Amino acid sequence: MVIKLENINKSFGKLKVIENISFSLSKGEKLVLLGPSGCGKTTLLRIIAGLESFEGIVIKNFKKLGYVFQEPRIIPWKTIYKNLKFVEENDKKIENILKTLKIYEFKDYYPNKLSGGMKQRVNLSRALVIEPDLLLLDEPFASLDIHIKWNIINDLLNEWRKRNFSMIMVTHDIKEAIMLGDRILVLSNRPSKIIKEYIISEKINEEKLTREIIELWTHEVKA
Amino acid sequence: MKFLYGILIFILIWWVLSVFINSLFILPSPLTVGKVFFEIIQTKTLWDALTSSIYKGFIALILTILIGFILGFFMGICDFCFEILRPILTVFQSVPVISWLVLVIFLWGIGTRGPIAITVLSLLPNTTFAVAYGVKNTDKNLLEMAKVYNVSKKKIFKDLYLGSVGPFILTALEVVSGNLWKVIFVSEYLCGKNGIGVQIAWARQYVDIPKVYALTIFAVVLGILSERLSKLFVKIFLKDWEYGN
Repeated sequence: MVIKLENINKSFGKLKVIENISFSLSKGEKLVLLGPSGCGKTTLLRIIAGLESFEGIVIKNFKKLGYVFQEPRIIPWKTIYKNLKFVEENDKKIENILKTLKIYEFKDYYPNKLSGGMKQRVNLSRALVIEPDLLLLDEPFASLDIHIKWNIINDLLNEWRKRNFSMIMVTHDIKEAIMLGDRILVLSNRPSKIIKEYIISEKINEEKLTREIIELWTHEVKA
Repeated sequence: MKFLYGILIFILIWWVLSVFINSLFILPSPLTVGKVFFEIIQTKTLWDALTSSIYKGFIALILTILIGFILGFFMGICDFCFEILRPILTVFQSVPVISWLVLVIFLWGIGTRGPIAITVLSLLPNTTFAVAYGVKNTDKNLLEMAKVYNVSKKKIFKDLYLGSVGPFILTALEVVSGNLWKVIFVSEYLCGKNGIGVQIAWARQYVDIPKVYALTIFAVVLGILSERLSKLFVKIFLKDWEYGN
């Protein structure tokens, strides 16, 4: 087990955003938290990363944490290489990950010279260069073109096959969740709670699953 | 070239006005002032005075940047410090040079320390506020990212805080270098033992108006030179920020 969350609750003042969420993640597992926009998915990731206070129990059994933020959070006055150097001292590791994610030739560029897709590759490189045990991904592909998105996802999956780290990704994109996850936890509208769990196998009927999840959310809104 | 034309037009206006006013005590002609200028630059007294003024200016600049950076940094990271120090610095900002004079004359008398202290006290508030706002403006998202990746405090200070403060402190340096000589010369005039300000005070004492103007030209040249130098310095050190923003 890499991480275990028990009865996590979170409120901002009177606004309850997370209600009794519990789950655990095993080594090498890819878990997707799928929920509608604004349901508190990012807050849940921030709780795991230690950036947010909460009620409940989080048992952490990992050393290194990588976090792919929704917005790239790259230091504007440093080159791409130096941005990675900020989190990892080993030059060899930096060069390798830049090559793997196909941005080595841009290593001396400043962030403002990069496209959105490139910036997300830097964001992902920074998370992977530290060789994380657990990787958190906060809707990292939300603003990207479809072909760039799938290219980056492919590179990410290749890296995961090599290193076998665990992943938790939050998204509202059902297709993305099915593509990336071994297991999907469907979250309700705010206050966010787990309403359904799916184990993804090769046999899964993507269309049927998509319809089911949409129905779940629609039913939730009506209720 | 345009700069030279500007100077030529200025000298022409000056010459016309001096002919019109026709009084050596009010506005001597550019030629008279020019002659005195070339006379005084050949004297050791002027170069000794200049060395003294530059020495005081340099010490005052270093102290202003150093104290301003330390105070500003703590004001930036600690809201309590900011609220406590802000009114004090605002008062300092409004105190005229002449009021500091009373304090330093009683404390140290006439000498080198007075002009340095007055200059530091006059320039410190702006520098401190510049650093404080720079630190306060450090991107919270970047600080969070550093926390997630367990980046050392030393690196956070060097790469994030200094990075954020960089443009603010260098812009402050540009402003400070512009005002530095004005304050130095005034404080030398009022409580200095030597320096360009003291030379101006003596020239005024002997009603040697062309010498006052000649020394003023010297002060103007020094001001322009230091402003240009600081701009060059800022340009070199802001290279990364220019690329990055």
